[in-house]
Amino acid sequence: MSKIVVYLKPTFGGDKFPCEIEPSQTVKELKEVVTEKSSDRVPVEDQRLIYKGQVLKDERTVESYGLQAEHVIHLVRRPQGQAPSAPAPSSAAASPGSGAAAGAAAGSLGELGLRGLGGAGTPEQLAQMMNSPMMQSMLQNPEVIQNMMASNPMIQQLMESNPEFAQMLNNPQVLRESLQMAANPALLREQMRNADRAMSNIESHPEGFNALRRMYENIQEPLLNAATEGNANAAASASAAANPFAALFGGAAASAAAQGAPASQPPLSSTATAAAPNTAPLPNPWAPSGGANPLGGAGAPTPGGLGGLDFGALGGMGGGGGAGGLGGLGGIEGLGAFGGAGGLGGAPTAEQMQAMLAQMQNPAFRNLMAQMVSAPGVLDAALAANPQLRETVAQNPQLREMLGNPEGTGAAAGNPAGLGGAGLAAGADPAPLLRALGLGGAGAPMPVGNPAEGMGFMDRSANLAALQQTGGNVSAAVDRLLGG
Amino acid sequence: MDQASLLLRKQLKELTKRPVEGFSAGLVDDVNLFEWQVTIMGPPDTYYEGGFFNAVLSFPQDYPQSPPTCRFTSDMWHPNVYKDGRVCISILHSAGDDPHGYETASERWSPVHTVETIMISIISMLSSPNDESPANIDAAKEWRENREGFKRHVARIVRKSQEML
Repeated sequence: MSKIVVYLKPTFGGDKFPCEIEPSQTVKELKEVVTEKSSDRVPVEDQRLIYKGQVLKDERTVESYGLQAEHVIHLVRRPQGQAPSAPAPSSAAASPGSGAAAGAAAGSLGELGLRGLGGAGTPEQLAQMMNSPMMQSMLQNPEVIQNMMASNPMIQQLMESNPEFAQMLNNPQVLRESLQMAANPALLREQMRNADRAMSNIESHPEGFNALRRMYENIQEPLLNAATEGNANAAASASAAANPFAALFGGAAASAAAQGAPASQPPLSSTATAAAPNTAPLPNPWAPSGGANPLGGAGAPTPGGLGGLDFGALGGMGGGGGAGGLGGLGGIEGLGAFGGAGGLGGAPTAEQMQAMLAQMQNPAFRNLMAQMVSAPGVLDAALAANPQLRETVAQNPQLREMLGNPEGTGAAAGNPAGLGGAGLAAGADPAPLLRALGLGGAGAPMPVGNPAEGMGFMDRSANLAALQQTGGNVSAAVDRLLGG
Repeated sequence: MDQASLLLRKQLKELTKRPVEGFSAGLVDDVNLFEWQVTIMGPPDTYYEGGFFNAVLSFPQDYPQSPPTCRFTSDMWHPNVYKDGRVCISILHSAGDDPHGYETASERWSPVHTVETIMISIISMLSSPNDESPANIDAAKEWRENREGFKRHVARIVRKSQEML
């Protein structure tokens, strides 16, 4: 097949320039040529090629788009500073900060976006990340992952104290499966549903419940403890993503549990690969605040949220406020929760609210918060990462004081009734504050001091209905309320 | 081949070889010349800068006697775009029908309009909304009374549009 010449027209200025390509080559290969030819050598990953009204996909061939000689393609440079997988704006609480935080975590795997595993991002973004060449090569080679894990003292400690967990991490099969699952959102969803179904089956089996409890004691609790410690360390050292693996644990553990379940319930292993999807969503047998919540688009589809099996507490803390903790951003996002429950994105009902408050009473969590806020670097980093929050803090000096004061936040955490009030009292104008804190409680039915009412949504039942209809997505709920 | 198909084919050929700044256009389906997909790049120095908005142009069989319709398939927040994405600008209104009576004939559809001139009108609509005959009343109200809120709203759809890339 002979080469053809196509033209690239940069939208960021400059004249169009020719590129030679064989029609059977892929768009990615075309991009490589473009990098060579473009005047400022735009890297492949920053290029977006737009032709005939569509964005060209890397893996498709040039001819599949009907590209012919002399045709002109628009070359767009992705806006500077945007992370490869842009965070979802719908999850207001998790988006702006976590992206930047992940960027800052250039160290180990931060760049790769393990933040995605941590709980932010849509399944598509996760898939995109998992399908990147680097991830793919990791998938091919579980040893790399094992090495990575072995070189992390935190994980080693965890493995030493938990033989089951060590076994799991040493089993390449488990690792590969959990990574592959993360790469494929459909499979991931399916697995989660299967896991839930398996759970309910096991529970109804005599002795099954006890088996579950054992599993919980042997695997989940130690993991939770380890992950919580990990978070505290991460926060204290102010390197937001010092423990990117915390999130990975979520996935690995969940898949192990998923494997564990079929073991005691053999027929289920076939459902794990069954092509026909179960259509009925199953209730999460354990924690109402668990990973099954969309968590503002965060929890459910990611391995972190795979706490469907369930890191009950971790699901709520890790998945929601912890999008911050696990994912990387030290946790000011978590403070959004204090602003009014909605920060946890997916905790719209009163019971879930209670569960979250219970977590806040948990000494480990309070300890974490205290460490976090007492390390000045963390607060600053979080502020730097979230322009909206920074703006708000600039407007409301008391808020900064409150954020910087461990007792203040501790008190807020310890006093459920004071939560809403504390958030509101901190700023002269509650609306921007709540918005900055992840749309705090726009419409979340708070027991006290409903911030939704502070924002002018006076009809509680309408707020509740809107939240339920949007699956707990606060910004979507606000849109709905505004749109009537 | 009828006049409409000939005209549209000619325009398509022209646009793939000499695309115009600000948008990229092609067919939704290669066998149907009457349905175009367009990617509009948010014009610089506007709230929409940096966004990539997809829209579909549907031409009637009697084009160019009648105007096409244009509908954004990406989320859009603009006083002159209905909430379902339909674009409401005067040049896309048939010469004969002017329900409100304040568009002059020269502002309405004329057979000289091409994909290129339509798209340029839409891009200019993005830069300067007309809040006198709003299609999205909420957006128009926000544009008039709460410019900051409008800006934030648009920033959100811009971000969202970038994720599609």
